[in-house]
Amino acid sequence: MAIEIIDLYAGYRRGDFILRGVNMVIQGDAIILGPNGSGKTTLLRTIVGITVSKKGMILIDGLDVESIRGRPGLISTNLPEVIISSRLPVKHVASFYLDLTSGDFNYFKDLVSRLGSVEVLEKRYHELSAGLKKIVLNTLAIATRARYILLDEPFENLDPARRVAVLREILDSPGVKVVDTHATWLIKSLPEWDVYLMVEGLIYGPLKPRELEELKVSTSPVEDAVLQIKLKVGEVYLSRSTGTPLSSLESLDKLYEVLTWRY
Amino acid sequence: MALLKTYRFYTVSLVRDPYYWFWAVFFMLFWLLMGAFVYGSSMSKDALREELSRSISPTTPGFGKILEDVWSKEVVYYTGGWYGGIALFSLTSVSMGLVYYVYYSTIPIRYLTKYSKATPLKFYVGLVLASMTVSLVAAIILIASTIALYSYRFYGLNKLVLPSNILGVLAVTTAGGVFKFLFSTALALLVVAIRKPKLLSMMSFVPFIISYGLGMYGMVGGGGLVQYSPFNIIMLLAYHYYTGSPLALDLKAVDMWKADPEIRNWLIPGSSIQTTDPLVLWLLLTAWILIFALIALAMLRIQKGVSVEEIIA
Repeated sequence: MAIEIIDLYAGYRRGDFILRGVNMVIQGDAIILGPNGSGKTTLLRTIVGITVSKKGMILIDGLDVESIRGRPGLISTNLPEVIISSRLPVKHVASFYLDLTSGDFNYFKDLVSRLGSVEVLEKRYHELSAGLKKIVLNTLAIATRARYILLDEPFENLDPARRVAVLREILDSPGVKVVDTHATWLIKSLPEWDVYLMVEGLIYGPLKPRELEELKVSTSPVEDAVLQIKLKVGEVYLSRSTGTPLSSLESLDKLYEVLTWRY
Repeated sequence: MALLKTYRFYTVSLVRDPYYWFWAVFFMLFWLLMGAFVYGSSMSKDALREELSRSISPTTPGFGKILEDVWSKEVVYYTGGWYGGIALFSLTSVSMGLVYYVYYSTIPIRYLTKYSKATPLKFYVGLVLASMTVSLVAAIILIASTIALYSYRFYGLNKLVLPSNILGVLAVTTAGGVFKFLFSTALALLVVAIRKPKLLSMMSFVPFIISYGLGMYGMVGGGGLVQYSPFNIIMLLAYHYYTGSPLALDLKAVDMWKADPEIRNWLIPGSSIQTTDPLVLWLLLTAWILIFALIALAMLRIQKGVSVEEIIA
Protein backbone atom coordinates (compact mmCIF):
# COMPACT_ATOMS: atom_id res chain seq x y z
CA MET A 1 0.00 0.00 0.00
CA ALA A 2 1.78 3.12 -1.20
CA ILE A 3 1.89 6.00 -3.61
CA GLU A 4 4.50 5.11 -6.23
CA ILE A 5 5.74 7.79 -8.55
CA ILE A 6 7.70 6.51 -11.52
CA ASP A 7 9.76 8.79 -13.77
CA LEU A 8 7.20 11.58 -13.57
CA TYR A 9 7.30 14.65 -15.78
CA ALA A 10 4.45 17.14 -15.37
CA GLY A 11 3.67 20.74 -16.12
CA TYR A 12 1.11 23.12 -17.50
CA ARG A 13 2.18 23.59 -21.08
CA ARG A 14 2.91 20.74 -23.42
CA GLY A 15 6.62 19.97 -23.40
CA ASP A 16 7.40 22.54 -20.71
CA PHE A 17 7.67 20.40 -17.60
CA ILE A 18 7.97 21.62 -14.03
CA LEU A 19 8.54 18.14 -12.59
CA ARG A 20 11.51 16.62 -14.40
CA GLY A 21 11.74 12.92 -13.68
CA VAL A 22 10.44 12.41 -10.15
CA ASN A 23 10.76 8.96 -8.62
CA MET A 24 9.53 8.26 -5.10
CA VAL A 25 7.53 5.82 -3.02
CA ILE A 26 5.39 7.20 -0.22
CA GLN A 27 4.50 4.54 2.32
CA GLY A 28 4.28 6.61 5.48
CA ASP A 29 3.80 10.20 6.56
CA ALA A 30 5.99 12.48 4.48
CA ILE A 31 6.93 16.12 4.36
CA ILE A 32 8.20 17.70 1.15
CA LEU A 33 10.34 20.77 1.75
CA GLY A 34 11.34 23.11 -1.02
CA PRO A 35 11.60 26.74 -2.00
CA ASN A 36 8.86 28.56 -3.89
CA GLY A 37 8.47 27.38 -7.46
CA SER A 38 10.25 24.08 -6.88
CA GLY A 39 7.22 22.01 -8.01
CA LYS A 40 5.70 20.95 -4.68
CA THR A 41 2.14 21.95 -5.52
CA THR A 42 2.46 20.56 -9.04
CA LEU A 43 3.52 17.23 -7.53
CA LEU A 44 0.40 17.08 -5.35
CA ARG A 45 -1.84 18.10 -8.26
CA THR A 46 -0.31 15.40 -10.39
CA ILE A 47 -0.68 12.75 -7.68
CA VAL A 48 -4.43 13.44 -7.41
CA GLY A 49 -4.72 13.35 -11.20
CA ILE A 50 -5.73 16.89 -12.12
CA THR A 51 -2.60 17.93 -14.00
CA VAL A 52 -3.20 17.87 -17.72
CA SER A 53 0.25 17.51 -19.17
CA LYS A 54 2.31 14.65 -17.84
CA LYS A 55 4.55 11.69 -18.64
CA GLY A 56 5.42 8.78 -16.37
CA MET A 57 3.20 6.90 -13.97
CA ILE A 58 1.59 7.30 -10.58
CA LEU A 59 0.25 4.27 -8.81
CA ILE A 60 -1.94 4.67 -5.76
CA ASP A 61 -2.24 1.35 -3.94
CA GLY A 62 -1.27 -0.25 -7.23
CA LEU A 63 -3.87 1.61 -9.30
CA ASP A 64 -2.84 3.95 -12.10
CA VAL A 65 -4.17 7.37 -11.09
CA GLU A 66 -5.44 7.93 -14.64
CA SER A 67 -7.77 4.97 -14.40
CA ILE A 68 -9.08 5.58 -10.88
CA ARG A 69 -12.83 6.18 -10.80
CA GLY A 70 -15.36 6.14 -7.96
CA ARG A 71 -12.95 5.52 -5.06
CA PRO A 72 -14.21 7.65 -2.14
CA GLY A 73 -11.85 7.64 0.81
CA LEU A 74 -8.73 6.90 -1.20
CA ILE A 75 -7.26 10.41 -1.38
CA SER A 76 -8.20 13.83 -0.12
CA THR A 77 -6.47 17.15 -0.62
CA ASN A 78 -6.68 20.77 0.47
CA LEU A 79 -6.02 22.12 -3.04
CA PRO A 80 -8.59 24.88 -3.65
CA GLU A 81 -9.08 24.04 -7.33
CA VAL A 82 -10.92 20.81 -6.52
CA ILE A 83 -13.75 22.77 -4.89
CA ILE A 84 -16.70 23.63 -7.14
CA SER A 85 -17.08 27.39 -7.23
CA SER A 86 -20.32 28.30 -5.47
CA ARG A 87 -22.03 31.18 -3.74
CA LEU A 88 -23.40 28.84 -1.10
CA PRO A 89 -22.19 29.05 2.51
CA VAL A 90 -19.21 26.91 3.46
CA LYS A 91 -21.40 24.42 5.35
CA HIS A 92 -23.42 23.58 2.21
CA VAL A 93 -20.36 23.18 0.00
CA ALA A 94 -18.63 21.05 2.65
CA SER A 95 -21.73 18.93 3.20
CA PHE A 96 -21.95 18.28 -0.57
CA TYR A 97 -18.27 17.35 -0.79
CA LEU A 98 -18.18 15.17 2.28
CA ASP A 99 -21.40 13.39 1.29
CA LEU A 100 -19.90 12.50 -2.09
CA THR A 101 -16.50 11.53 -0.71
CA SER A 102 -17.92 9.57 2.25
CA GLY A 103 -16.36 12.00 4.72
CA ASP A 104 -17.51 13.08 8.17
CA PHE A 105 -19.45 16.34 8.06
CA ASN A 106 -19.98 16.53 11.82
CA TYR A 107 -16.25 16.21 12.35
CA PHE A 108 -15.73 18.97 9.77
CA LYS A 109 -18.12 21.28 11.62
CA ASP A 110 -16.45 20.54 14.93
CA LEU A 111 -12.97 21.09 13.52
CA VAL A 112 -13.83 24.34 11.71
CA SER A 113 -15.49 25.65 14.86
CA ARG A 114 -12.40 24.85 16.91
CA LEU A 115 -9.77 26.03 14.42
CA GLY A 116 -11.69 28.98 13.03
CA SER A 117 -15.10 29.86 14.38
CA VAL A 118 -18.71 28.74 14.04
CA GLU A 119 -19.42 31.79 11.86
CA VAL A 120 -17.11 30.43 9.19
CA LEU A 121 -19.69 27.76 8.39
CA GLU A 122 -22.32 30.36 7.55
CA LYS A 123 -20.07 32.47 5.33
CA ARG A 124 -19.33 32.01 1.68
CA TYR A 125 -15.89 30.70 0.86
CA HIS A 126 -14.87 33.78 -1.13
CA GLU A 127 -15.80 36.01 1.83
CA LEU A 128 -13.26 34.36 4.14
CA SER A 129 -9.80 35.67 4.90
CA ALA A 130 -6.83 33.81 3.41
CA GLY A 131 -6.13 32.13 6.76
CA LEU A 132 -9.72 30.98 7.26
CA LYS A 133 -9.87 29.70 3.68
CA LYS A 134 -6.82 27.59 4.43
CA ILE A 135 -8.44 26.27 7.61
CA VAL A 136 -11.59 25.30 5.68
CA LEU A 137 -9.57 23.51 2.98
CA ASN A 138 -7.33 21.71 5.50
CA THR A 139 -10.35 20.66 7.52
CA LEU A 140 -12.21 19.44 4.45
CA ALA A 141 -9.21 17.28 3.53
CA ILE A 142 -8.85 15.90 7.07
CA ALA A 143 -12.60 15.31 7.55
CA THR A 144 -12.71 13.18 4.41
CA ARG A 145 -10.79 10.62 6.49
CA ALA A 146 -9.07 9.36 3.38
CA ARG A 147 -6.28 6.80 3.28
CA TYR A 148 -3.93 9.43 1.84
CA ILE A 149 -4.25 13.07 2.86
CA LEU A 150 -2.31 15.46 0.63
CA LEU A 151 -1.86 18.91 2.13
CA ASP A 152 -0.41 21.77 0.14
CA GLU A 153 1.17 24.46 2.35
CA PRO A 154 -1.30 23.77 5.18
CA PHE A 155 0.21 26.44 7.46
CA GLU A 156 0.29 29.27 4.94
CA ASN A 157 -1.44 32.46 6.15
CA LEU A 158 -2.15 30.98 9.60
CA ASP A 159 -1.24 32.77 12.82
CA PRO A 160 1.25 30.95 15.11
CA ALA A 161 -1.40 29.57 17.47
CA ARG A 162 -3.48 28.19 14.63
CA ARG A 163 -0.42 26.67 12.98
CA VAL A 164 0.19 24.59 16.08
CA ALA A 165 -3.49 23.66 16.36
CA VAL A 166 -3.61 22.61 12.70
CA LEU A 167 -0.42 20.61 13.07
CA ARG A 168 -1.93 18.78 16.03
CA GLU A 169 -5.04 17.87 13.99
CA ILE A 170 -2.87 16.67 11.13
CA LEU A 171 -0.83 14.49 13.47
CA ASP A 172 -3.99 13.05 15.06
CA SER A 173 -5.72 12.24 11.81
CA PRO A 174 -5.54 8.65 10.59
CA GLY A 175 -4.17 7.83 7.16
CA VAL A 176 -0.90 8.64 5.45
CA LYS A 177 -0.23 12.36 5.42
CA VAL A 178 1.81 14.03 2.69
CA VAL A 179 2.54 17.66 3.48
CA ASP A 180 4.35 20.04 1.19
CA THR A 181 5.63 23.23 2.70
CA HIS A 182 8.50 25.66 2.77
CA ALA A 183 8.08 26.03 6.54
CA THR A 184 10.84 24.26 8.45
CA TRP A 185 9.75 25.09 12.02
CA LEU A 186 7.59 21.98 12.22
CA ILE A 187 10.24 19.41 11.43
CA LYS A 188 11.14 18.89 15.10
CA SER A 189 7.51 17.93 15.73
CA LEU A 190 7.63 15.20 13.11
CA PRO A 191 10.53 12.95 14.14
CA GLU A 192 9.14 9.84 12.46
CA TRP A 193 8.14 11.45 9.17
CA ASP A 194 10.10 11.07 5.95
CA VAL A 195 11.55 14.34 4.76
CA TYR A 196 12.03 14.98 1.06
CA LEU A 197 13.68 17.99 -0.51
CA MET A 198 12.24 19.30 -3.75
CA VAL A 199 14.34 21.58 -5.86
CA GLU A 200 13.88 22.65 -9.48
CA GLY A 201 11.40 19.87 -10.23
CA LEU A 202 13.41 17.01 -8.75
CA ILE A 203 12.91 15.21 -5.47
CA TYR A 204 15.67 14.15 -3.06
CA GLY A 205 15.37 11.88 -0.03
CA PRO A 206 13.92 10.53 2.09
CA LEU A 207 15.72 11.46 5.27
CA LYS A 208 14.51 11.51 8.83
CA PRO A 209 14.38 15.01 10.40
CA ARG A 210 17.26 14.17 12.74
CA GLU A 211 19.43 12.99 9.86
CA LEU A 212 18.76 16.22 8.02
CA GLU A 213 19.79 18.36 10.95
CA GLU A 214 23.05 16.44 11.27
CA LEU A 215 24.03 17.03 7.67
CA LYS A 216 26.49 19.60 6.39
CA VAL A 217 26.05 21.60 3.25
CA SER A 218 28.73 22.32 0.69
CA THR A 219 28.86 23.69 -2.81
CA SER A 220 32.10 21.80 -3.51
CA PRO A 221 32.01 18.13 -4.47
CA VAL A 222 32.00 15.80 -1.46
CA GLU A 223 32.79 12.09 -1.68
CA ASP A 224 30.43 10.82 1.00
CA ALA A 225 27.50 12.99 -0.05
CA VAL A 226 24.16 11.75 1.24
CA LEU A 227 22.33 13.93 -1.22
CA GLN A 228 23.67 15.53 -4.37
CA ILE A 229 21.26 18.26 -5.43
CA LYS A 230 21.46 19.32 -9.07
CA LEU A 231 20.70 22.95 -9.73
CA LYS A 232 20.70 24.71 -13.09
CA VAL A 233 23.71 26.72 -11.96
CA GLY A 234 25.70 23.99 -10.24
CA GLU A 235 25.42 21.37 -7.53
CA VAL A 236 24.94 21.34 -3.76
CA TYR A 237 26.15 18.46 -1.59
CA LEU A 238 24.70 17.36 1.72
CA SER A 239 27.05 15.10 3.64
CA ARG A 240 27.90 14.06 7.15
CA SER A 241 31.51 15.18 6.91
CA THR A 242 32.11 18.33 4.90
CA GLY A 243 30.66 21.82 4.78
CA THR A 244 28.58 24.07 6.97
CA PRO A 245 26.44 22.17 9.47
CA LEU A 246 22.76 22.79 8.84
CA SER A 247 22.35 22.98 12.63
CA SER A 248 24.67 25.99 12.71
CA LEU A 249 22.48 27.96 10.33
CA GLU A 250 20.21 30.46 12.03
CA SER A 251 17.38 28.20 11.01
CA LEU A 252 16.81 25.49 8.49
CA ASP A 253 15.25 28.17 6.32
CA LYS A 254 18.81 29.11 5.40
CA LEU A 255 18.92 25.88 3.44
CA TYR A 256 16.71 27.54 0.86
CA GLU A 257 19.31 30.20 0.32
CA VAL A 258 21.76 27.42 -0.47
CA LEU A 259 19.30 25.73 -2.76
CA THR A 260 18.60 28.93 -4.62
CA TRP A 261 22.37 29.52 -4.87
CA ARG A 262 22.52 32.64 -2.80
CA TYR A 263 24.36 31.14 0.18
CA MET B 1 -28.00 9.56 -4.35
CA ALA B 2 -24.95 11.22 -5.90
CA LEU B 3 -27.15 12.45 -8.76
CA LEU B 4 -29.72 13.86 -6.35
CA LYS B 5 -27.02 15.60 -4.30
CA THR B 6 -25.40 17.06 -7.40
CA TYR B 7 -28.77 18.23 -8.69
CA ARG B 8 -29.64 19.82 -5.35
CA PHE B 9 -26.23 21.47 -5.02
CA TYR B 10 -26.28 23.04 -8.49
CA THR B 11 -29.95 24.05 -8.21
CA VAL B 12 -29.44 25.83 -4.89
CA SER B 13 -26.21 27.40 -6.21
CA LEU B 14 -28.00 28.74 -9.30
CA VAL B 15 -31.07 29.89 -7.39
CA ARG B 16 -28.86 31.81 -4.95
CA ASP B 17 -26.90 33.42 -7.76
CA PRO B 18 -27.80 37.13 -7.94
CA TYR B 19 -26.78 37.26 -11.60
CA TYR B 20 -29.45 34.70 -12.39
CA TRP B 21 -32.12 36.76 -10.65
CA PHE B 22 -31.02 39.99 -12.24
CA TRP B 23 -30.55 38.84 -15.85
CA ALA B 24 -32.98 35.94 -16.14
CA VAL B 25 -35.80 37.41 -14.08
CA PHE B 26 -35.65 41.12 -13.17
CA PHE B 27 -34.18 42.33 -16.45
CA MET B 28 -36.83 40.34 -18.31
CA LEU B 29 -39.54 41.83 -16.08
CA PHE B 30 -38.27 45.23 -17.13
CA TRP B 31 -38.81 44.34 -20.80
CA LEU B 32 -42.26 42.92 -20.05
CA LEU B 33 -43.12 46.27 -18.45
CA MET B 34 -41.77 48.09 -21.49
CA GLY B 35 -43.85 45.85 -23.76
CA ALA B 36 -47.02 46.45 -21.79
CA PHE B 37 -46.78 50.14 -21.02
CA VAL B 38 -44.37 51.73 -23.50
CA TYR B 39 -44.37 49.76 -26.76
CA GLY B 40 -48.02 48.80 -26.28
CA SER B 41 -49.18 52.29 -25.37
CA SER B 42 -50.58 52.93 -28.86
CA MET B 43 -52.70 49.78 -28.81
CA SER B 44 -56.34 50.52 -28.15
CA LYS B 45 -59.73 49.24 -29.08
CA ASP B 46 -60.48 52.54 -30.85
CA ALA B 47 -57.45 52.18 -33.08
CA LEU B 48 -58.49 48.61 -33.87
CA ARG B 49 -62.05 49.74 -34.64
CA GLU B 50 -60.68 52.17 -37.17
CA GLU B 51 -58.48 49.52 -38.78
CA LEU B 52 -61.27 46.93 -38.81
CA SER B 53 -63.71 49.37 -40.33
CA ARG B 54 -61.52 49.47 -43.43
CA SER B 55 -62.48 45.87 -44.22
CA ILE B 56 -65.84 45.54 -42.45
CA SER B 57 -68.42 48.30 -42.32
CA PRO B 58 -69.15 49.39 -38.73
CA THR B 59 -72.84 49.16 -39.57
CA THR B 60 -72.53 45.43 -40.33
CA PRO B 61 -74.63 43.41 -37.85
CA GLY B 62 -72.35 41.83 -35.21
CA PHE B 63 -69.54 44.36 -35.83
CA GLY B 64 -69.27 44.96 -32.08
CA LYS B 65 -68.88 41.22 -31.43
CA ILE B 66 -66.25 40.92 -34.18
CA LEU B 67 -64.40 43.91 -32.70
CA GLU B 68 -64.39 42.27 -29.27
CA ASP B 69 -63.12 38.99 -30.72
CA VAL B 70 -60.39 40.67 -32.74
CA TRP B 71 -59.40 42.82 -29.77
CA SER B 72 -59.14 39.73 -27.54
CA LYS B 73 -56.99 38.02 -30.14
CA GLU B 74 -54.82 41.07 -30.73
CA VAL B 75 -54.20 41.37 -26.99
CA VAL B 76 -53.34 37.71 -26.57
CA TYR B 77 -51.10 37.69 -29.68
CA TYR B 78 -49.31 40.81 -28.55
CA THR B 79 -48.88 39.36 -25.04
CA GLY B 80 -47.80 35.97 -26.39
CA GLY B 81 -45.30 37.66 -28.71
CA TRP B 82 -43.66 39.39 -25.77
CA TYR B 83 -43.71 36.24 -23.66
CA GLY B 84 -42.12 34.19 -26.48
CA GLY B 85 -39.25 36.66 -26.82
CA ILE B 86 -38.78 37.03 -23.09
CA ALA B 87 -38.79 33.24 -22.57
CA LEU B 88 -35.98 32.92 -25.11
CA PHE B 89 -33.92 35.74 -23.65
CA SER B 90 -34.43 34.51 -20.07
CA LEU B 91 -33.14 31.07 -21.08
CA THR B 92 -30.24 32.83 -22.78
CA SER B 93 -29.32 34.57 -19.53
CA VAL B 94 -29.32 31.24 -17.70
CA SER B 95 -27.22 29.82 -20.51
CA MET B 96 -24.57 32.56 -20.21
CA GLY B 97 -24.11 31.73 -16.52
CA LEU B 98 -23.94 28.01 -17.28
CA VAL B 99 -20.94 28.47 -19.58
CA TYR B 100 -18.97 29.63 -16.54
CA TYR B 101 -20.39 26.92 -14.26
CA VAL B 102 -19.45 24.16 -16.67
CA TYR B 103 -16.00 25.61 -17.36
CA TYR B 104 -15.05 26.09 -13.72
CA SER B 105 -16.45 22.68 -12.81
CA THR B 106 -14.12 20.77 -15.15
CA ILE B 107 -11.32 20.29 -12.61
CA PRO B 108 -13.52 19.58 -9.55
CA ILE B 109 -15.50 17.08 -11.64
CA ARG B 110 -12.26 15.39 -12.75
CA TYR B 111 -11.21 15.15 -9.09
CA LEU B 112 -14.57 14.11 -7.65
CA THR B 113 -15.21 11.42 -10.24
CA LYS B 114 -11.99 9.78 -9.10
CA TYR B 115 -12.42 10.09 -5.35
CA SER B 116 -16.17 10.14 -4.79
CA LYS B 117 -19.28 8.20 -5.68
CA ALA B 118 -20.18 10.60 -8.50
CA THR B 119 -19.57 9.91 -12.18
CA PRO B 120 -19.23 12.50 -14.98
CA LEU B 121 -22.65 11.43 -16.24
CA LYS B 122 -24.23 12.07 -12.83
CA PHE B 123 -22.61 15.50 -12.68
CA TYR B 124 -23.81 16.54 -16.11
CA VAL B 125 -27.30 15.10 -15.62
CA GLY B 126 -27.43 16.93 -12.28
CA LEU B 127 -26.48 20.15 -14.06
CA VAL B 128 -29.07 19.58 -16.83
CA LEU B 129 -31.81 19.01 -14.25
CA ALA B 130 -30.66 22.06 -12.28
CA SER B 131 -30.70 24.26 -15.38
CA MET B 132 -34.18 22.95 -16.26
CA THR B 133 -35.37 23.70 -12.74
CA VAL B 134 -34.09 27.27 -12.66
CA SER B 135 -35.43 27.85 -16.18
CA LEU B 136 -38.84 26.67 -15.00
CA VAL B 137 -38.69 28.85 -11.90
CA ALA B 138 -37.90 31.86 -14.09
CA ALA B 139 -40.64 30.85 -16.56
CA ILE B 140 -43.28 30.55 -13.84
CA ILE B 141 -42.40 34.00 -12.48
CA LEU B 142 -42.38 35.49 -15.97
CA ILE B 143 -45.69 33.84 -16.96
CA ALA B 144 -47.36 35.09 -13.79
CA SER B 145 -45.91 38.57 -14.35
CA THR B 146 -46.96 38.56 -18.01
CA ILE B 147 -50.52 37.64 -17.07
CA ALA B 148 -50.65 40.31 -14.35
CA LEU B 149 -49.02 43.13 -16.34
CA TYR B 150 -50.82 42.62 -19.65
CA SER B 151 -54.18 41.90 -18.02
CA TYR B 152 -53.80 45.17 -16.10
CA ARG B 153 -52.68 47.08 -19.17
CA PHE B 154 -55.47 45.90 -21.49
CA TYR B 155 -58.35 44.97 -19.18
CA GLY B 156 -57.60 46.72 -15.90
CA LEU B 157 -57.46 43.21 -14.38
CA ASN B 158 -61.17 42.69 -15.18
CA LYS B 159 -60.14 39.90 -17.53
CA LEU B 160 -56.96 37.81 -17.51
CA VAL B 161 -54.74 37.28 -20.56
CA LEU B 162 -54.07 33.64 -19.82
CA PRO B 163 -51.85 31.26 -21.83
CA SER B 164 -53.98 28.96 -23.95
CA ASN B 165 -51.85 25.95 -22.98
CA ILE B 166 -49.84 26.43 -19.79
CA LEU B 167 -48.42 22.90 -19.89
CA GLY B 168 -47.19 23.52 -23.42
CA VAL B 169 -45.51 26.75 -22.29
CA LEU B 170 -43.79 24.93 -19.42
CA ALA B 171 -42.83 22.01 -21.69
CA VAL B 172 -41.13 24.26 -24.24
CA THR B 173 -39.36 26.10 -21.41
CA THR B 174 -38.07 22.78 -20.07
CA ALA B 175 -36.93 21.64 -23.50
CA GLY B 176 -35.38 25.07 -24.06
CA GLY B 177 -33.53 24.70 -20.76
CA VAL B 178 -32.09 21.36 -21.90
CA PHE B 179 -31.05 22.79 -25.27
CA LYS B 180 -29.43 25.84 -23.70
CA PHE B 181 -27.55 23.69 -21.21
CA LEU B 182 -26.14 21.48 -23.96
CA PHE B 183 -25.30 24.54 -26.05
CA SER B 184 -23.49 26.14 -23.08
CA THR B 185 -21.69 22.89 -22.26
CA ALA B 186 -20.49 22.56 -25.85
CA LEU B 187 -19.16 26.14 -25.75
CA ALA B 188 -17.47 25.74 -22.35
CA LEU B 189 -15.90 22.42 -23.34
CA LEU B 190 -14.79 23.92 -26.66
CA VAL B 191 -12.75 26.44 -24.64
CA VAL B 192 -11.24 23.51 -22.72
CA ALA B 193 -10.72 21.35 -25.81
CA ILE B 194 -8.82 24.03 -27.73
CA ARG B 195 -7.06 25.10 -24.50
CA LYS B 196 -7.82 28.79 -24.92
CA PRO B 197 -9.15 29.88 -21.50
CA LYS B 198 -8.95 33.52 -22.53
CA LEU B 199 -11.84 32.85 -24.93
CA LEU B 200 -14.15 32.02 -22.01
CA SER B 201 -15.56 35.50 -21.59
CA MET B 202 -16.21 35.83 -25.32
CA MET B 203 -17.75 32.34 -25.45
CA SER B 204 -20.14 33.19 -22.62
CA PHE B 205 -21.57 35.92 -24.86
CA VAL B 206 -22.16 33.57 -27.80
CA PRO B 207 -25.60 32.44 -26.51
CA PHE B 208 -26.49 36.10 -26.02
CA ILE B 209 -25.30 37.19 -29.46
CA ILE B 210 -26.93 34.31 -31.33
CA SER B 211 -30.19 34.42 -29.37
CA TYR B 212 -30.63 38.15 -29.77
CA GLY B 213 -29.43 38.14 -33.38
CA LEU B 214 -31.60 35.28 -34.62
CA GLY B 215 -34.44 36.00 -32.19
CA MET B 216 -34.78 39.66 -33.15
CA TYR B 217 -34.42 38.86 -36.85
CA GLY B 218 -37.14 36.22 -36.60
CA MET B 219 -39.29 38.64 -34.65
CA VAL B 220 -39.07 41.79 -36.76
CA GLY B 221 -36.74 41.08 -39.69
CA GLY B 222 -38.39 38.27 -41.57
CA GLY B 223 -39.41 34.64 -41.52
CA GLY B 224 -37.96 31.79 -43.53
CA LEU B 225 -34.90 29.71 -42.72
CA VAL B 226 -34.04 31.63 -39.56
CA GLN B 227 -37.20 30.23 -37.93
CA TYR B 228 -35.64 26.75 -38.08
CA SER B 229 -32.89 27.72 -35.65
CA PRO B 230 -33.37 26.24 -32.17
CA PHE B 231 -33.54 29.74 -30.69
CA ASN B 232 -36.40 30.77 -32.95
CA ILE B 233 -38.16 27.43 -32.49
CA ILE B 234 -38.16 27.97 -28.69
CA MET B 235 -39.57 31.46 -29.18
CA LEU B 236 -42.22 30.35 -31.69
CA LEU B 237 -43.37 27.38 -29.61
CA ALA B 238 -43.61 29.57 -26.49
CA TYR B 239 -45.67 32.01 -28.55
CA HIS B 240 -47.83 29.19 -29.94
CA TYR B 241 -48.65 27.72 -26.54
CA TYR B 242 -49.32 31.13 -25.04
CA THR B 243 -51.66 32.27 -27.81
CA GLY B 244 -53.01 29.05 -29.31
CA SER B 245 -52.31 30.62 -32.71
CA PRO B 246 -51.19 28.54 -35.69
CA LEU B 247 -47.58 29.07 -36.77
CA ALA B 248 -46.39 30.10 -40.22
CA LEU B 249 -42.63 29.95 -40.60
CA ASP B 250 -42.65 32.33 -43.57
CA LEU B 251 -43.90 35.11 -41.31
CA LYS B 252 -41.87 37.19 -38.93
CA ALA B 253 -43.09 36.79 -35.35
CA VAL B 254 -44.74 40.22 -35.13
CA ASP B 255 -46.90 39.26 -38.14
CA MET B 256 -47.75 35.82 -36.81
CA TRP B 257 -51.33 36.98 -36.13
CA LYS B 258 -51.85 36.66 -39.89
CA ALA B 259 -51.61 32.89 -39.46
CA ASP B 260 -54.93 32.96 -37.57
CA PRO B 261 -57.52 32.21 -40.29
CA GLU B 262 -60.30 34.10 -38.51
CA ILE B 263 -58.30 37.32 -38.15
CA ARG B 264 -56.94 36.98 -41.67
CA ASN B 265 -60.46 36.61 -42.96
CA TRP B 266 -61.55 39.82 -41.21
CA LEU B 267 -58.53 42.01 -41.87
CA ILE B 268 -57.00 40.68 -45.11
CA PRO B 269 -59.75 38.70 -46.75
CA GLY B 270 -58.79 36.42 -49.61
CA SER B 271 -55.20 35.86 -48.47
CA SER B 272 -53.79 32.40 -47.72
CA ILE B 273 -50.86 31.31 -45.59
CA GLN B 274 -49.00 28.04 -45.21
CA THR B 275 -49.05 27.05 -41.54
CA THR B 276 -46.74 24.57 -39.81
CA ASP B 277 -47.70 21.84 -37.38
CA PRO B 278 -46.04 22.54 -33.97
CA LEU B 279 -45.07 18.85 -33.94
CA VAL B 280 -42.65 19.61 -36.77
CA LEU B 281 -41.03 22.28 -34.59
CA TRP B 282 -40.86 19.84 -31.67
CA LEU B 283 -39.12 17.31 -33.91
CA LEU B 284 -36.69 19.97 -35.09
CA LEU B 285 -36.00 21.11 -31.53
CA THR B 286 -35.42 17.49 -30.49
CA ALA B 287 -32.99 17.11 -33.40
CA TRP B 288 -31.14 20.26 -32.29
CA ILE B 289 -30.98 18.91 -28.72
CA LEU B 290 -29.56 15.61 -29.98
CA ILE B 291 -27.03 17.38 -32.21
CA PHE B 292 -25.73 19.51 -29.34
CA ALA B 293 -25.80 16.53 -26.96
CA LEU B 294 -23.51 14.72 -29.42
CA ILE B 295 -21.28 17.79 -29.80
CA ALA B 296 -21.04 18.19 -25.99
CA LEU B 297 -20.27 14.49 -25.63
CA ALA B 298 -17.62 14.67 -28.35
CA MET B 299 -16.08 17.73 -26.67
CA LEU B 300 -16.10 15.89 -23.35
CA ARG B 301 -14.12 13.07 -24.94
CA ILE B 302 -11.78 15.27 -26.98
CA GLN B 303 -10.85 17.68 -24.20
CA LYS B 304 -7.83 16.80 -22.14
CA GLY B 305 -8.57 19.61 -19.74
CA VAL B 306 -7.16 23.05 -19.25
CA SER B 307 -4.33 23.15 -16.74
CA VAL B 308 -5.14 24.19 -13.23
CA GLU B 309 -2.85 27.21 -13.53
CA GLU B 310 -4.76 28.48 -16.55
CA ILE B 311 -8.17 27.92 -14.98
CA ILE B 312 -7.40 29.63 -11.69
CA ALA B 313 -5.47 32.47 -13.36
